[in-house]
Amino acid sequence: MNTKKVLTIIALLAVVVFVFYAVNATPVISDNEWTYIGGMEWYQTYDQGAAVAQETGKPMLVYFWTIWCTYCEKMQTEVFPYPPTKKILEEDFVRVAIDMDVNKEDTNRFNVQAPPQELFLDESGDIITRIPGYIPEEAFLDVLTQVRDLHKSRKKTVITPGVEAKNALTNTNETEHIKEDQPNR
Amino acid sequence: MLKSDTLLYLSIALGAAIIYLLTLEILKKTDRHSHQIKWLVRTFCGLLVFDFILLSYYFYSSNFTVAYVWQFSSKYYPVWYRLSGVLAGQTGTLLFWAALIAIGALWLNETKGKETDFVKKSLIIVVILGMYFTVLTVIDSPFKTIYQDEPSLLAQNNPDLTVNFVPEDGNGLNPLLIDPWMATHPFTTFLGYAGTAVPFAGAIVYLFMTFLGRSEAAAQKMWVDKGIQWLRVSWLFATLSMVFGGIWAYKSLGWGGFWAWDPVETAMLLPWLMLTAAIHTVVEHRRDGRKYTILAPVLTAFTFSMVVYATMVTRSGIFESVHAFISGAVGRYIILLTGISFVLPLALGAVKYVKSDVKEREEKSLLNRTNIFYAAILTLLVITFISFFGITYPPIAKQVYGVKYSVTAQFFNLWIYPFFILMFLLIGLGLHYRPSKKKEVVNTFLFFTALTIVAALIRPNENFNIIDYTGIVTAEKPMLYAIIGGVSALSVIPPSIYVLYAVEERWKAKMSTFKKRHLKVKEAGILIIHIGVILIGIGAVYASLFVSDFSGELNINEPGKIVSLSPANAHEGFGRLGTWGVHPQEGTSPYSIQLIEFKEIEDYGAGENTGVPPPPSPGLSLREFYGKLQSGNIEESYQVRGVIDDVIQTEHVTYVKLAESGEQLWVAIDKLDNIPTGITVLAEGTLMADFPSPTLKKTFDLIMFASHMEEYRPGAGSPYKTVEQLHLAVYKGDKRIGHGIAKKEVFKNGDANRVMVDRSLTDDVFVSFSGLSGTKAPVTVKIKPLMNWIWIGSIFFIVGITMTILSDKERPTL
Repeated sequence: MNTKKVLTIIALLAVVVFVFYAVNATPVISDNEWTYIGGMEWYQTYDQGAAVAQETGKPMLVYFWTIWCTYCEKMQTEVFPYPPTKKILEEDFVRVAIDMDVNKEDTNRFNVQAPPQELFLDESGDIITRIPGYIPEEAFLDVLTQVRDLHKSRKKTVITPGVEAKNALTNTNETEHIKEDQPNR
Repeated sequence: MLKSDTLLYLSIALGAAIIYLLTLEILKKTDRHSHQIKWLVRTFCGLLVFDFILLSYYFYSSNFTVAYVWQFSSKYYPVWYRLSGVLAGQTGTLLFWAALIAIGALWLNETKGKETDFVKKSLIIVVILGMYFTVLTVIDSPFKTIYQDEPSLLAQNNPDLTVNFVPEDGNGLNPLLIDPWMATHPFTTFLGYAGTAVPFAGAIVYLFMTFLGRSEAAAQKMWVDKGIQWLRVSWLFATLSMVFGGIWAYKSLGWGGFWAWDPVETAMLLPWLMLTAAIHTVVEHRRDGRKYTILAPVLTAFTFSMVVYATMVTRSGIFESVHAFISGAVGRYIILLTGISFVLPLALGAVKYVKSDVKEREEKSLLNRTNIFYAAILTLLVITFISFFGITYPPIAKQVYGVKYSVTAQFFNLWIYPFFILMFLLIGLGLHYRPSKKKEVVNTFLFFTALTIVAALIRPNENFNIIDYTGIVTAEKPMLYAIIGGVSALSVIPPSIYVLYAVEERWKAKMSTFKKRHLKVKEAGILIIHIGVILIGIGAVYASLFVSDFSGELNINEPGKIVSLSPANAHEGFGRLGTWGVHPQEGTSPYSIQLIEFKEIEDYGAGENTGVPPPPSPGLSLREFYGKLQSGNIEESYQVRGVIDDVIQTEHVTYVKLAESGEQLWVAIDKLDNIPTGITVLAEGTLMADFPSPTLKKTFDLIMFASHMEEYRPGAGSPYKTVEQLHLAVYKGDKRIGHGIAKKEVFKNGDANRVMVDRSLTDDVFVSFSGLSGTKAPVTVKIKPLMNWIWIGSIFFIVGITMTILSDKERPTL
């Protein structure tokens, strides 16, 4: 056998190894059941998440994304996996990730124009607050903690479920600050 | 407008006639129709080129009744950007492509040896390709008028659009595309793309003729001589296209820097890699006709296949990418062409492989020129395959299994890096190789390979990881990811030194042996290109890994004040340390920024450059007005134009003093608040002489009682863009490391942020500003090391390839 054939076989082997690894070990972002972001499992439709939220009494984070949006990638690789954030998300939130290319129904339901967008809802489906766009991890952690604490305190005090509290949060300028960096496409 | 479409139909008919006559000649083995064919091809080419020039003229003259012009142009753009609109959409690019392929056909038509079967057959293929793209152009014609183009944006906004309606202005380009690099990027891209059509045809004909066992040698000389220069020129333009696109992406926010492995960027890399591989095989095949008799033509044909594939990625709508904004009927035909262009050369190559009995002479030792070349070409092909797979598999998996993969820049960096390093080592080996010095060559190779492995293990800190594998978010981290991802970026240094060493050795050994000047130039060109590879390699690795990222907030009312910058997101990707000694947790940095000057600019554009004279200024200037009065030309009311010099407010009336070149006039109008001085206004009303004002206790010699007054802006009615502009300086400690202008431009159809980039050999100071909030100007500062090595390497590429093109004395003459 001549050297060129040997070299060809080596190259083909390299390609086979690559394809095997690429198919089996490339991070899957979503399959038919779940979306995997930040090492967590996310529901893919609002209805699934809402049902669980109602059952457990946890607030929901509904995250709108697409595979081509670079700021979503930043959210997914930097913001959500940030250890303190991840801990809160896993313990205290029902997570829903809406792929805007696929789930048009929920995209339209919440009138989301561009990815990324993060929406917080309580267990009965009322919107607590909305972050339109990318937000750095520290700021996101702040909002997340606020929403969680608010939700908890609201549950203890049984005065007209959280109307003032909700207003207080939606009216703060918190979300205004965060608007920066919304990529324009 | 219909006429232009007629010309397209006519070109298709001409193409069919050319193919018919050529086939007739080939079958009957005559030259009887050669005269007709010659003139038919000339007309075919002339028509398509004329069509393209006509479309360009519509853009030049801002003919907004053409829907395509309306969509992508505006009369306020400088002529350069108006013309760049021609290639802003799909239909214009298809026409350009068709015209360029027709030029290829013309070249074959006028070339030496046009009476041979080989050229005739190639011409048939090129004409078919030209017709194919012409048909695609017709399907979605760029010459459609706004009246024909029913569902257009324009028609939606103007329900009562009639045939007499001519839009004032076009919709305009996406503001991000108004950039010199983006204006030239599509031109170079399609010049590169179209250049592969002739080599494709030549390679197909060569494969077809030789597997039948016909004269190998004659066909070989023919296709190689015809093909190689086209390949080189395509390579030149493909390189330019990627460089221009890269510079643009580098300056545009949201594009992830000069290279982000976006599907479209990757798709553009595929033809480039294939061209690189093809050129190397063809050069070897040209030296020795028994080498690469199958691989060279197959790879050459694949350059065109990859080009069509790249178009499919950008235009078919299958792929999710920022570029893929257009899809439609044309997509399907491009997919079809992609399939054919891959299968045809592959099938012909396979048949030839089975039938061929040409045996290559096997050299005894393992180390020889053939094997080194072959290993390098295989490495290139593996890199090509990884890039191809990375953009092709995810959409397929999504369709078939409903699974979405996260194929990001990290995926490509991870898999390609080992082959990239291997490539460098092989380049070094190939350049250093000399049959007489085998032992020395082997030892040097082993020495640098060992050095590379050692360098790969030295990691001063986490930032040196080739990818941030800790950031990959999966349940389990595959071992290979950790192994390759943990390789140190220092590993690019020894192979680079090796290549430079090999270049120097080769220069010393070879230059003196060449007697002829053109051979020297060619050799120098080749060496320059390979030095370019090194510069780009080092630059790309370091510029992507060691970016430092800071943020600060300036106040436009405090120019001159120095604001210190804090490390924002100093880690690129979760888990990375900040760079160059700045740790994200420390909260301070040695960097600071100063606002030198803030400006708000209104730009009225190039309305006067459209060839249409600007509308005359309305109203009379004060001088004209007094001139008219003196000539006794008294009218009931006047419209005058002047600059507000003084304002007196009373309870019900506002008195405004207009002044201009020494003349002045008082105007009284019903109370208007907040009138600034210094602006030009138009006032319309009646005159009164010797008017005594009761409230001001003053008598005006002449006053105008205006019924109407409005601000007047010269040129267009309103600015076509407004600009918030910061003149900035960036300091490290006390030392000024960069200065320049960052701005935000707001157009009527969107806005664009223009970053400040202050370049130097060691690093770029990069400041982005995305608009004021109140008086605050938030800025992001990035320090990007070795960025310019990439652009300098690109210049080496361009200079080197140009030298090899010009010094190729065996090039066929017309």
